Amino acid sequence: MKKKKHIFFTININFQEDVVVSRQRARQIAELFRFSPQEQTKIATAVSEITRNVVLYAGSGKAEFFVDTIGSQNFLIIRVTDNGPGIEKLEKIMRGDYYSKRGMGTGISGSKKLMDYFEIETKPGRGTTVTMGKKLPPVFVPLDEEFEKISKRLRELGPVNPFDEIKMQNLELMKLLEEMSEKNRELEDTNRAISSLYAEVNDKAGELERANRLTMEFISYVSHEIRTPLSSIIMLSKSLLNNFPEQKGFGQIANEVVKKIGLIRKSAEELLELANGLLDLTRIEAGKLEVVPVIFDIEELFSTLRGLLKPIAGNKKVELIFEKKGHIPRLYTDLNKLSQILRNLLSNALKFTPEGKVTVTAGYGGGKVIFTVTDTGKGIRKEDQNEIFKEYFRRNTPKDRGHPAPGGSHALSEGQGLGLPISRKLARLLGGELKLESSVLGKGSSFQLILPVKFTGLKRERI
Amino acid sequence: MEHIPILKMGEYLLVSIQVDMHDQLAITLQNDLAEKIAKTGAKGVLIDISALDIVDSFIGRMLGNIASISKVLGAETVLVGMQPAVAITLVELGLSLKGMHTALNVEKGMQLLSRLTGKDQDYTSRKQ
Repeated sequence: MKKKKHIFFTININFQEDVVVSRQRARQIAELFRFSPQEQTKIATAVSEITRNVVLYAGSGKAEFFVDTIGSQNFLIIRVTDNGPGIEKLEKIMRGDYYSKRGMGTGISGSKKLMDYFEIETKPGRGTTVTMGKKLPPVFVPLDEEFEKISKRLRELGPVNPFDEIKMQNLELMKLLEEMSEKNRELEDTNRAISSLYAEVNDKAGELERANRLTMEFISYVSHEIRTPLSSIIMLSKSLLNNFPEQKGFGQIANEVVKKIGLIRKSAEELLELANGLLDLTRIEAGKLEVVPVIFDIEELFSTLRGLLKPIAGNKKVELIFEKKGHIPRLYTDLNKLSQILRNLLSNALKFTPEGKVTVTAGYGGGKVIFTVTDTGKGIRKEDQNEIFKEYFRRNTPKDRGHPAPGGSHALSEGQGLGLPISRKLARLLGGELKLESSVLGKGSSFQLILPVKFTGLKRERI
Repeated sequence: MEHIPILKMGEYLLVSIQVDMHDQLAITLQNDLAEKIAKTGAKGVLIDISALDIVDSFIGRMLGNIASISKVLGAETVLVGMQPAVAITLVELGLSLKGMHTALNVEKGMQLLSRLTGKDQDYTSRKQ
Protein backbone atom coordinates (compact mmCIF):
# COMPACT_ATOMS: atom_id res chain seq x y z
CA MET A 1 0.00 0.00 0.00
CA LYS A 2 2.27 2.63 -1.23
CA LYS A 3 1.64 5.50 -3.53
CA LYS A 4 1.27 8.95 -2.18
CA LYS A 5 0.85 9.76 1.42
CA HIS A 6 -0.44 13.01 2.76
CA ILE A 7 0.20 13.14 6.43
CA PHE A 8 -2.34 15.60 7.65
CA PHE A 9 -1.86 15.44 11.28
CA THR A 10 0.17 13.93 14.04
CA ILE A 11 -0.79 13.74 17.68
CA ASN A 12 1.64 12.73 20.39
CA ILE A 13 0.06 10.49 22.96
CA ASN A 14 1.32 10.59 26.52
CA PHE A 15 -1.65 11.08 28.80
CA GLN A 16 -5.26 10.01 29.19
CA GLU A 17 -6.29 13.44 27.98
CA ASP A 18 -4.50 12.74 24.70
CA VAL A 19 -6.95 9.92 24.07
CA VAL A 20 -9.74 12.48 24.19
CA VAL A 21 -7.81 14.85 21.94
CA SER A 22 -7.08 12.05 19.47
CA ARG A 23 -10.67 10.92 19.14
CA GLN A 24 -11.97 14.46 18.82
CA ARG A 25 -9.38 15.16 16.16
CA ALA A 26 -10.27 11.92 14.42
CA ARG A 27 -13.89 12.95 14.37
CA GLN A 28 -13.06 16.41 12.99
CA ILE A 29 -10.84 14.94 10.31
CA ALA A 30 -13.49 12.38 9.37
CA GLU A 31 -15.97 15.21 9.10
CA LEU A 32 -13.65 17.15 6.81
CA PHE A 33 -13.42 14.09 4.57
CA ARG A 34 -17.20 14.11 4.46
CA PHE A 35 -17.74 10.87 6.28
CA SER A 36 -21.29 10.42 7.54
CA PRO A 37 -21.88 11.12 11.24
CA GLN A 38 -22.07 7.40 11.89
CA GLU A 39 -18.77 6.78 10.22
CA GLN A 40 -17.25 9.75 12.05
CA THR A 41 -18.27 8.19 15.34
CA LYS A 42 -16.91 4.81 14.35
CA ILE A 43 -13.55 6.22 13.28
CA ALA A 44 -13.32 8.33 16.42
CA THR A 45 -14.24 5.37 18.60
CA ALA A 46 -11.64 3.15 16.98
CA VAL A 47 -9.00 5.84 17.44
CA SER A 48 -10.06 6.17 21.05
CA GLU A 49 -9.63 2.45 21.67
CA ILE A 50 -6.23 2.19 20.05
CA THR A 51 -4.76 5.36 21.55
CA ARG A 52 -5.99 4.31 24.98
CA ASN A 53 -3.99 1.13 24.60
CA VAL A 54 -0.93 3.28 23.91
CA VAL A 55 -1.42 5.21 27.16
CA LEU A 56 -2.26 2.08 29.15
CA TYR A 57 0.43 -0.29 27.94
CA ALA A 58 3.20 1.70 26.27
CA GLY A 59 3.03 5.03 28.09
CA SER A 60 3.61 7.09 24.99
CA GLY A 61 3.32 6.97 21.25
CA LYS A 62 1.77 8.90 18.39
CA ALA A 63 -1.17 8.88 16.04
CA GLU A 64 -0.74 9.93 12.40
CA PHE A 65 -3.55 10.72 10.02
CA PHE A 66 -3.04 10.47 6.28
CA VAL A 67 -4.63 9.35 3.06
CA ASP A 68 -3.34 6.35 1.19
CA THR A 69 -4.42 4.14 -1.67
CA ILE A 70 -5.10 0.49 -1.06
CA GLY A 71 -5.95 -1.37 -4.22
CA SER A 72 -7.73 1.26 -6.23
CA GLN A 73 -9.44 2.80 -3.26
CA ASN A 74 -8.47 5.89 -1.29
CA PHE A 75 -8.42 5.37 2.42
CA LEU A 76 -8.22 7.65 5.40
CA ILE A 77 -5.49 5.94 7.38
CA ILE A 78 -4.77 6.34 11.04
CA ARG A 79 -1.51 4.84 12.14
CA VAL A 80 -0.87 4.57 15.87
CA THR A 81 2.66 3.63 16.92
CA ASP A 82 4.30 3.09 20.26
CA ASN A 83 7.51 1.65 21.63
CA GLY A 84 5.87 -0.28 24.40
CA PRO A 85 6.23 -3.92 25.39
CA GLY A 86 4.14 -5.16 22.45
CA ILE A 87 1.09 -7.38 22.67
CA GLU A 88 1.42 -10.95 23.86
CA LYS A 89 -1.94 -12.60 23.34
CA LEU A 90 -2.67 -10.95 20.04
CA GLU A 91 -4.61 -13.87 18.55
CA LYS A 92 -6.83 -14.17 21.57
CA ILE A 93 -7.41 -10.45 21.58
CA MET A 94 -8.26 -10.43 17.90
CA ARG A 95 -10.85 -13.16 18.42
CA GLY A 96 -12.46 -10.92 21.01
CA ASP A 97 -12.52 -13.39 23.90
CA TYR A 98 -9.79 -11.73 25.88
CA TYR A 99 -10.81 -10.14 29.12
CA SER A 100 -9.07 -6.86 29.89
CA LYS A 101 -9.04 -5.37 33.34
CA ARG A 102 -9.44 -1.83 32.15
CA GLY A 103 -11.37 -1.91 28.91
CA MET A 104 -14.02 -4.34 27.80
CA GLY A 105 -11.44 -6.49 26.11
CA THR A 106 -12.91 -5.30 22.89
CA GLY A 107 -10.56 -2.43 22.07
CA ILE A 108 -8.61 -4.05 19.26
CA SER A 109 -11.15 -6.55 18.00
CA GLY A 110 -13.89 -3.94 18.20
CA SER A 111 -11.81 -1.35 16.38
CA LYS A 112 -11.19 -3.86 13.62
CA LYS A 113 -14.92 -4.27 13.22
CA LEU A 114 -15.42 -0.51 13.09
CA MET A 115 -12.85 0.06 10.34
CA ASP A 116 -12.53 -1.16 6.75
CA TYR A 117 -8.84 -1.82 6.96
CA PHE A 118 -7.00 -3.01 10.01
CA GLU A 119 -3.46 -4.19 10.42
CA ILE A 120 -1.50 -4.73 13.57
CA GLU A 121 2.21 -5.31 13.85
CA THR A 122 3.67 -6.15 17.20
CA LYS A 123 6.68 -7.86 18.61
CA PRO A 124 7.33 -8.43 22.30
CA GLY A 125 9.50 -5.60 23.53
CA ARG A 126 9.48 -3.89 20.17
CA GLY A 127 6.32 -1.85 20.37
CA THR A 128 3.12 -1.97 18.43
CA THR A 129 1.94 -0.32 15.23
CA VAL A 130 -1.77 -0.31 14.40
CA THR A 131 -2.69 0.86 10.94
CA MET A 132 -6.38 1.22 10.32
CA GLY A 133 -8.29 2.82 7.49
CA LYS A 134 -11.68 3.73 6.28
CA LYS A 135 -12.60 4.03 2.63
CA LEU A 136 -13.08 7.64 1.71
CA PRO A 137 -16.74 8.34 0.99
CA PRO A 138 -17.68 8.64 -2.70
CA VAL A 139 -18.72 12.26 -2.12
CA PHE A 140 -15.12 13.18 -1.39
CA VAL A 141 -13.15 14.23 -4.44
CA PRO A 142 -9.57 13.18 -3.97
CA LEU A 143 -7.94 16.22 -5.54
CA ASP A 144 -4.86 17.99 -4.35
CA GLU A 145 -6.87 21.16 -3.73
CA GLU A 146 -9.18 19.23 -1.46
CA PHE A 147 -6.28 17.85 0.57
CA GLU A 148 -4.83 21.31 0.68
CA LYS A 149 -8.10 22.70 1.99
CA ILE A 150 -8.32 20.06 4.68
CA SER A 151 -4.74 20.63 5.80
CA LYS A 152 -5.43 24.35 6.04
CA ARG A 153 -8.65 23.81 7.94
CA LEU A 154 -6.88 21.51 10.41
CA ARG A 155 -4.19 24.05 11.03
CA GLU A 156 -6.82 26.67 11.70
CA LEU A 157 -8.59 24.51 14.25
CA GLY A 158 -5.66 24.82 16.59
CA PRO A 159 -5.51 22.89 19.77
CA VAL A 160 -8.69 21.12 20.75
CA ASN A 161 -8.50 22.59 24.22
CA PRO A 162 -6.15 24.70 26.30
CA PHE A 163 -5.03 21.52 27.97
CA ASP A 164 -2.88 20.81 24.93
CA GLU A 165 -0.92 23.96 25.31
CA ILE A 166 -0.57 23.70 29.05
CA LYS A 167 0.54 20.14 28.59
CA MET A 168 3.20 21.20 26.11
CA GLN A 169 4.48 23.82 28.50
CA ASN A 170 4.39 21.33 31.31
CA LEU A 171 6.37 18.85 29.28
CA GLU A 172 9.00 21.46 28.57
CA LEU A 173 9.11 22.42 32.22
CA MET A 174 9.44 18.79 33.22
CA LYS A 175 12.26 18.38 30.76
CA LEU A 176 13.97 21.46 32.14
CA LEU A 177 13.45 20.20 35.65
CA GLU A 178 14.94 16.88 34.70
CA GLU A 179 17.97 18.60 33.21
CA MET A 180 18.26 20.74 36.31
CA SER A 181 18.14 17.78 38.63
CA GLU A 182 20.67 16.05 36.38
CA LYS A 183 22.97 19.06 36.74
CA ASN A 184 22.23 19.10 40.42
CA ARG A 185 23.24 15.48 40.72
CA GLU A 186 26.46 16.19 38.85
CA LEU A 187 27.17 19.10 41.16
CA GLU A 188 26.46 16.94 44.16
CA ASP A 189 28.83 14.30 42.87
CA THR A 190 31.52 16.89 42.30
CA ASN A 191 30.88 18.29 45.73
CA ARG A 192 31.20 14.91 47.32
CA ALA A 193 34.42 14.26 45.44
CA ILE A 194 35.78 17.61 46.58
CA SER A 195 34.80 16.96 50.18
CA SER A 196 36.51 13.61 50.22
CA LEU A 197 39.56 15.13 48.55
CA TYR A 198 39.51 17.88 51.13
CA ALA A 199 39.31 15.33 53.93
CA GLU A 200 42.24 13.48 52.39
CA VAL A 201 44.26 16.68 52.13
CA ASN A 202 43.37 17.44 55.73
CA ASP A 203 44.56 14.01 56.79
CA LYS A 204 47.77 14.47 54.87
CA ALA A 205 48.28 17.88 56.43
CA GLY A 206 47.79 16.36 59.85
CA GLU A 207 50.26 13.61 59.06
CA LEU A 208 52.77 16.11 57.75
CA GLU A 209 52.37 18.20 60.83
CA ARG A 210 52.92 15.17 63.03
CA ALA A 211 55.93 14.15 60.95
CA ASN A 212 57.29 17.67 61.16
CA ARG A 213 56.83 17.75 64.90
CA LEU A 214 58.56 14.40 65.27
CA THR A 215 61.43 15.59 63.09
CA MET A 216 61.76 18.73 65.15
CA GLU A 217 61.68 16.78 68.38
CA PHE A 218 64.29 14.44 67.04
CA ILE A 219 66.53 17.27 65.88
CA SER A 220 66.08 19.03 69.17
CA TYR A 221 66.97 15.90 71.11
CA VAL A 222 70.01 15.06 69.01
CA SER A 223 71.40 18.60 69.00
CA HIS A 224 70.94 18.79 72.72
CA GLU A 225 72.72 15.49 73.29
CA ILE A 226 75.54 16.41 70.93
CA ARG A 227 76.30 19.64 72.71
CA THR A 228 77.74 18.04 75.84
CA PRO A 229 80.41 15.87 74.14
CA LEU A 230 81.20 18.74 71.81
CA SER A 231 81.77 21.06 74.73
CA SER A 232 84.11 18.46 76.20
CA ILE A 233 86.05 18.23 72.93
CA ILE A 234 86.33 22.01 72.75
CA MET A 235 87.41 22.33 76.38
CA LEU A 236 89.93 19.52 76.08
CA SER A 237 91.44 20.81 72.84
CA LYS A 238 91.59 24.30 74.35
CA SER A 239 93.48 23.07 77.38
CA LEU A 240 95.77 21.02 75.15
CA LEU A 241 96.55 24.08 73.04
CA ASN A 242 97.13 26.22 76.08
CA ASN A 243 99.61 23.77 77.52
CA PHE A 244 101.46 22.91 74.36
CA PRO A 245 103.37 26.10 73.53
CA GLU A 246 105.25 25.82 76.83
CA GLN A 247 106.75 22.48 75.88
CA LYS A 248 108.85 23.66 73.07
CA GLY A 249 111.64 21.52 71.82
CA PHE A 250 109.39 19.02 70.19
CA GLY A 251 109.91 21.17 67.16
CA GLN A 252 108.35 20.09 63.95
CA ILE A 253 106.12 17.43 65.50
CA ALA A 254 104.74 19.80 68.11
CA ASN A 255 103.82 22.36 65.46
CA GLU A 256 102.01 19.71 63.48
CA VAL A 257 100.11 18.50 66.57
CA VAL A 258 99.16 22.06 67.56
CA LYS A 259 97.85 22.70 64.07
CA LYS A 260 95.76 19.52 64.09
CA ILE A 261 94.35 20.14 67.55
CA GLY A 262 93.44 23.61 66.33
CA LEU A 263 91.54 22.06 63.47
CA ILE A 264 89.77 19.66 65.82
CA ARG A 265 88.76 22.57 67.99
CA LYS A 266 87.55 24.64 65.07
CA SER A 267 85.48 21.77 63.72
CA ALA A 268 84.04 21.09 67.13
CA GLU A 269 83.13 24.73 67.53
CA GLU A 270 81.41 24.76 64.18
CA LEU A 271 79.55 21.61 65.09
CA LEU A 272 78.47 23.19 68.34
CA GLU A 273 77.30 26.22 66.45
CA LEU A 274 75.27 23.96 64.19
CA ALA A 275 73.78 22.13 67.15
CA ASN A 276 72.87 25.45 68.78
CA GLY A 277 71.37 26.72 65.56
CA LEU A 278 69.28 23.59 65.16
CA LEU A 279 68.16 23.83 68.73
CA ASP A 280 67.16 27.45 68.22
CA LEU A 281 65.28 26.52 65.09
CA THR A 282 63.33 23.77 66.78
CA ARG A 283 62.55 26.04 69.67
CA ILE A 284 61.25 28.76 67.39
CA GLU A 285 59.22 26.20 65.41
CA ALA A 286 57.71 24.87 68.58
CA GLY A 287 57.00 28.42 69.78
CA LYS A 288 59.02 27.73 72.87
CA LEU A 289 61.29 30.72 72.48
CA GLU A 290 60.40 33.45 74.89
CA VAL A 291 61.10 37.09 74.30
CA VAL A 292 62.72 38.79 77.24
CA PRO A 293 62.68 42.50 76.49
CA VAL A 294 65.08 44.84 78.28
CA ILE A 295 65.84 48.55 77.93
CA PHE A 296 69.21 49.29 76.39
CA ASP A 297 71.08 51.77 74.29
CA ILE A 298 72.22 51.01 70.79
CA GLU A 299 75.77 51.89 71.73
CA GLU A 300 75.87 49.05 74.24
CA LEU A 301 74.82 46.64 71.53
CA PHE A 302 77.41 47.94 69.12
CA SER A 303 80.26 47.72 71.60
CA THR A 304 79.36 44.12 72.48
CA LEU A 305 79.27 43.19 68.82
CA ARG A 306 82.48 45.04 68.12
CA GLY A 307 84.20 43.15 70.91
CA LEU A 308 82.88 39.82 69.65
CA LEU A 309 83.67 40.23 66.00
CA LYS A 310 86.77 42.40 65.94
CA PRO A 311 89.03 39.32 66.29
CA ILE A 312 87.45 37.62 63.29
CA ALA A 313 87.65 40.76 61.22
CA GLY A 314 91.15 41.35 62.43
CA ASN A 315 92.34 38.05 61.05
CA LYS A 316 91.31 39.15 57.61
CA LYS A 317 91.90 42.33 55.79
CA VAL A 318 88.41 43.46 56.55
CA GLU A 319 87.40 46.69 58.15
CA LEU A 320 84.42 46.46 60.52
CA ILE A 321 82.53 49.74 60.86
CA PHE A 322 79.62 50.56 63.22
CA GLU A 323 77.66 53.68 62.41
CA LYS A 324 74.81 55.45 64.18
CA LYS A 325 72.78 57.76 61.97
CA GLY A 326 71.07 60.53 63.88
CA HIS A 327 69.30 60.14 67.20
CA ILE A 328 68.07 56.72 68.13
CA PRO A 329 65.91 56.31 71.23
CA ARG A 330 66.62 53.64 73.76
CA LEU A 331 65.35 50.26 72.67
CA TYR A 332 63.00 48.02 74.54
CA THR A 333 63.37 44.56 73.05
CA ASP A 334 65.17 41.25 73.53
CA LEU A 335 68.83 42.20 73.49
CA ASN A 336 70.12 38.64 73.18
CA LYS A 337 68.00 37.87 70.18
CA LEU A 338 68.78 41.14 68.45
CA SER A 339 72.43 40.54 69.08
CA GLN A 340 72.10 37.02 67.71
CA ILE A 341 70.54 38.31 64.51
CA LEU A 342 73.21 40.94 63.99
CA ARG A 343 75.95 38.45 64.88
CA ASN A 344 74.61 36.10 62.23
CA LEU A 345 74.47 38.84 59.65
CA LEU A 346 77.93 40.08 60.52
CA SER A 347 79.61 36.70 60.62
CA ASN A 348 78.03 35.93 57.26
CA ALA A 349 79.25 39.23 55.89
CA LEU A 350 82.75 38.61 57.23
CA LYS A 351 82.72 35.05 55.95
CA PHE A 352 81.94 36.10 52.40
CA THR A 353 84.14 39.15 52.36
CA PRO A 354 87.79 38.19 51.83
CA GLU A 355 88.81 41.82 51.94
CA GLY A 356 87.20 45.25 52.02
CA LYS A 357 84.77 46.40 54.64
CA VAL A 358 81.66 45.43 56.52
CA THR A 359 79.44 48.25 57.70
CA VAL A 360 76.64 48.22 60.24
CA THR A 361 74.45 51.30 60.31
CA ALA A 362 71.52 52.00 62.57
CA GLY A 363 68.86 54.57 61.78
CA TYR A 364 65.51 55.54 63.27
CA GLY A 365 62.19 56.41 61.73
CA GLY A 366 58.48 55.90 62.46
CA GLY A 367 58.99 54.07 65.72
CA LYS A 368 61.35 51.64 64.11
CA VAL A 369 65.07 51.04 64.15
CA ILE A 370 66.63 50.06 60.88
CA PHE A 371 69.89 48.14 60.92
CA THR A 372 71.71 47.76 57.65
CA VAL A 373 74.60 45.35 57.28
CA THR A 374 76.57 45.98 54.13
CA ASP A 375 79.62 44.13 52.92
CA THR A 376 81.88 44.35 49.91
CA GLY A 377 82.07 40.58 49.48
CA LYS A 378 81.10 38.02 46.91
CA GLY A 379 77.47 38.91 46.65
CA ILE A 380 74.63 36.49 46.14
CA ARG A 381 73.58 35.08 42.82
CA LYS A 382 70.17 36.20 41.65
CA GLU A 383 68.75 32.68 41.55
CA ASP A 384 69.87 32.17 45.16
CA GLN A 385 68.45 35.41 46.53
CA ASN A 386 65.05 33.89 47.18
CA GLU A 387 66.53 30.76 48.69
CA ILE A 388 68.85 32.15 51.33
CA PHE A 389 66.12 32.42 53.95
CA LYS A 390 65.19 28.77 53.59
CA GLU A 391 66.54 26.28 56.10
CA TYR A 392 69.66 24.31 55.18
CA PHE A 393 70.26 26.33 52.06
CA ARG A 394 73.93 26.91 51.49
CA ARG A 395 75.41 29.42 49.17
CA ASN A 396 77.22 27.69 46.42
CA THR A 397 79.41 30.05 44.55
CA PRO A 398 80.81 28.37 41.44
CA LYS A 399 84.28 28.78 42.83
CA ASP A 400 83.53 26.67 45.89
CA ARG A 401 82.04 23.72 44.13
CA GLY A 402 84.40 20.77 44.25
CA HIS A 403 87.28 22.89 45.49
CA PRO A 404 87.43 22.94 49.25
CA ALA A 405 89.21 25.98 50.53
CA PRO A 406 92.79 25.34 51.48
CA GLY A 407 93.71 24.73 55.10
CA GLY A 408 91.49 21.68 55.63
CA SER A 409 88.35 23.76 55.58
CA HIS A 410 85.23 21.69 55.01
CA ALA A 411 81.67 22.39 54.07
CA LEU A 412 80.78 23.67 57.51
CA SER A 413 83.00 26.65 57.08
CA GLU A 414 80.47 27.92 54.56
CA GLY A 415 77.86 27.95 57.32
CA GLN A 416 75.16 25.51 58.22
CA GLY A 417 72.50 27.18 56.16
CA LEU A 418 70.68 28.03 59.37
CA GLY A 419 71.85 31.52 60.22
CA LEU A 420 69.58 33.51 57.97
CA PRO A 421 66.41 31.47 58.47
CA ILE A 422 66.87 31.60 62.23
CA SER A 423 67.61 35.32 62.08
CA ARG A 424 64.51 36.02 60.07
CA LYS A 425 62.40 33.97 62.47
CA LEU A 426 63.87 35.81 65.41
CA ALA A 427 63.28 39.15 63.70
CA ARG A 428 59.63 38.23 63.20
CA LEU A 429 59.41 37.04 66.78
CA LEU A 430 60.49 40.51 67.82
CA GLY A 431 57.79 42.01 65.60
CA GLY A 432 60.20 43.06 62.88
CA GLU A 433 61.43 41.89 59.52
CA LEU A 434 64.70 40.86 57.96
CA LYS A 435 65.29 41.13 54.27
CA LEU A 436 67.96 41.21 51.66
CA GLU A 437 68.09 44.77 50.47
CA SER A 438 70.39 44.33 47.55
CA SER A 439 73.14 42.15 46.32
CA VAL A 440 75.43 42.45 43.37
CA LEU A 441 77.58 39.48 42.49
CA GLY A 442 81.20 40.36 43.13
CA LYS A 443 80.33 43.72 44.69
CA GLY A 444 78.69 42.76 47.95
CA SER A 445 75.34 42.45 49.70
CA SER A 446 73.23 44.53 51.98
CA PHE A 447 70.77 43.14 54.54
CA GLN A 448 68.18 45.19 56.35
CA LEU A 449 66.69 44.49 59.74
CA ILE A 450 63.72 46.56 60.77
CA LEU A 451 62.60 46.34 64.38
CA PRO A 452 60.05 48.23 66.44
CA VAL A 453 61.77 50.34 69.03
CA LYS A 454 59.36 49.02 71.61
CA PHE A 455 58.59 45.33 71.65
CA THR A 456 54.86 44.72 72.10
CA GLY A 457 54.35 41.14 73.05
CA LEU A 458 50.71 41.27 72.08
CA LYS A 459 51.51 41.72 68.46
CA ARG A 460 53.53 38.57 68.41
CA GLU A 461 52.96 36.91 65.11
CA ARG A 462 52.98 33.26 64.28
CA ILE A 463 56.28 32.31 62.76
CA MET B 1 -9.96 18.09 40.03
CA GLU B 2 -12.63 17.97 37.39
CA HIS B 3 -16.04 16.58 38.20
CA ILE B 4 -19.22 15.97 36.27
CA PRO B 5 -22.03 17.69 38.19
CA ILE B 6 -24.65 15.47 39.78
CA LEU B 7 -28.04 17.11 40.40
CA LYS B 8 -30.61 15.89 42.90
CA MET B 9 -34.24 16.11 41.93
CA GLY B 10 -36.64 14.55 44.38
CA GLU B 11 -35.63 10.94 44.74
CA TYR B 12 -33.62 10.97 41.58
CA LEU B 13 -30.14 12.02 40.62
CA LEU B 14 -29.56 13.66 37.27
CA VAL B 15 -26.28 13.54 35.42
CA SER B 16 -25.80 15.26 32.13
CA ILE B 17 -22.46 14.53 30.56
CA GLN B 18 -21.61 17.58 28.44
CA VAL B 19 -17.94 17.01 27.87
CA ASP B 20 -15.90 14.34 26.21
CA MET B 21 -14.64 12.55 29.30
CA HIS B 22 -11.14 11.27 29.64
CA ASP B 23 -10.83 8.00 31.49
CA GLN B 24 -10.07 9.42 34.92
CA LEU B 25 -13.06 11.72 34.69
CA ALA B 26 -15.30 8.74 33.92
CA ILE B 27 -13.89 6.87 36.93
CA THR B 28 -14.44 9.95 39.07
CA LEU B 29 -18.04 10.15 37.93
CA GLN B 30 -18.60 6.51 38.83
CA ASN B 31 -17.22 7.10 42.33
CA ASP B 32 -19.04 10.40 42.82
CA LEU B 33 -22.34 8.82 41.86
CA ALA B 34 -21.86 5.89 44.22
CA GLU B 35 -21.14 8.35 47.06
CA LYS B 36 -24.11 10.49 46.21
CA ILE B 37 -26.54 7.57 46.02
CA ALA B 38 -25.35 6.32 49.39
CA LYS B 39 -25.64 9.79 50.88
CA THR B 40 -29.04 10.77 49.51
CA GLY B 41 -30.67 7.37 49.31
CA ALA B 42 -31.75 8.20 45.77
CA LYS B 43 -34.00 5.67 44.10
CA GLY B 44 -33.05 6.42 40.54
CA VAL B 45 -30.24 7.84 38.39
CA LEU B 46 -30.75 9.40 35.02
CA ILE B 47 -27.70 9.84 32.83
CA ASP B 48 -27.96 12.01 29.77
CA ILE B 49 -25.33 11.37 27.13
CA SER B 50 -26.93 13.29 24.29
CA ALA B 51 -23.86 15.54 24.06
CA LEU B 52 -21.47 12.62 23.55
CA ASP B 53 -20.34 11.92 20.00
CA ILE B 54 -18.19 9.07 21.06
CA VAL B 55 -18.69 6.31 23.58
CA ASP B 56 -15.86 3.86 23.40
CA SER B 57 -15.40 0.61 25.25
CA PHE B 58 -14.00 2.23 28.35
CA ILE B 59 -16.74 4.79 28.78
CA GLY B 60 -19.24 2.07 27.89
CA ARG B 61 -17.82 -0.08 30.62
CA MET B 62 -17.92 2.79 33.11
CA LEU B 63 -21.60 3.41 32.29
CA GLY B 64 -22.29 -0.28 32.78
CA ASN B 65 -20.43 -0.19 36.10
CA ILE B 66 -22.44 2.81 37.22
CA ALA B 67 -25.66 0.92 36.51
CA SER B 68 -24.45 -2.15 38.43
CA ILE B 69 -23.20 -0.16 41.41
CA SER B 70 -26.45 1.85 41.56
CA LYS B 71 -28.44 -1.34 41.47
CA VAL B 72 -26.51 -2.73 44.40
CA LEU B 73 -27.09 0.53 46.26
CA GLY B 74 -30.80 0.30 45.53
CA ALA B 75 -31.13 2.72 42.65
CA GLU B 76 -32.14 2.18 39.05
CA THR B 77 -30.19 3.75 36.23
CA VAL B 78 -31.54 4.95 32.95
CA LEU B 79 -29.30 6.08 30.15
CA VAL B 80 -30.89 8.60 27.83
CA GLY B 81 -30.14 10.59 24.69
CA MET B 82 -27.68 8.27 23.02
CA GLN B 83 -26.95 9.40 19.49
CA PRO B 84 -27.81 6.87 16.78
CA ALA B 85 -24.23 6.81 15.57
CA VAL B 86 -23.04 6.02 19.08
CA ALA B 87 -25.58 3.26 19.40
CA ILE B 88 -24.50 1.72 16.10
CA THR B 89 -20.85 1.98 17.06
CA LEU B 90 -21.43 0.40 20.45
CA VAL B 91 -23.20 -2.53 18.92
CA GLU B 92 -20.48 -2.99 16.32
CA LEU B 93 -17.90 -2.77 19.05
CA GLY B 94 -19.68 -5.64 20.73
CA LEU B 95 -21.01 -3.69 23.68
CA SER B 96 -24.69 -4.07 24.20
CA LEU B 97 -24.85 -2.42 27.64
CA LYS B 98 -26.79 -5.38 28.94
CA GLY B 99 -28.69 -4.83 32.16
CA MET B 100 -28.84 -1.14 31.59
CA HIS B 101 -32.08 0.67 31.04
CA THR B 102 -32.11 3.08 28.18
CA ALA B 103 -34.54 5.62 26.89
CA LEU B 104 -34.60 7.89 23.91
CA ASN B 105 -34.71 11.19 25.77
CA VAL B 106 -34.91 12.68 29.24
CA GLU B 107 -38.67 12.74 29.28
CA LYS B 108 -39.01 9.07 28.44
CA GLY B 109 -36.19 8.33 30.81
CA MET B 110 -38.01 9.95 33.72
CA GLN B 111 -41.13 7.99 32.95
CA LEU B 112 -39.10 4.81 32.85
CA LEU B 113 -37.48 5.66 36.17
CA SER B 114 -40.86 6.28 37.76
CA ARG B 115 -42.06 2.95 36.54
CA LEU B 116 -38.94 1.18 37.66
CA THR B 117 -39.01 2.68 41.14
CA GLY B 118 -42.66 1.78 41.44
CA LYS B 119 -43.77 5.31 42.13
CA ASP B 120 -45.78 6.53 39.32
CA GLN B 121 -44.69 10.07 39.84
CA ASP B 122 -45.21 11.74 36.56
CA TYR B 123 -43.09 14.72 36.03
CA THR B 124 -44.52 15.40 32.60
CA SER B 125 -48.17 14.77 32.08
CA ARG B 126 -50.67 12.50 33.71
CA LYS B 127 -52.67 12.14 30.63
CA GLN B 128 -51.75 9.10 28.72
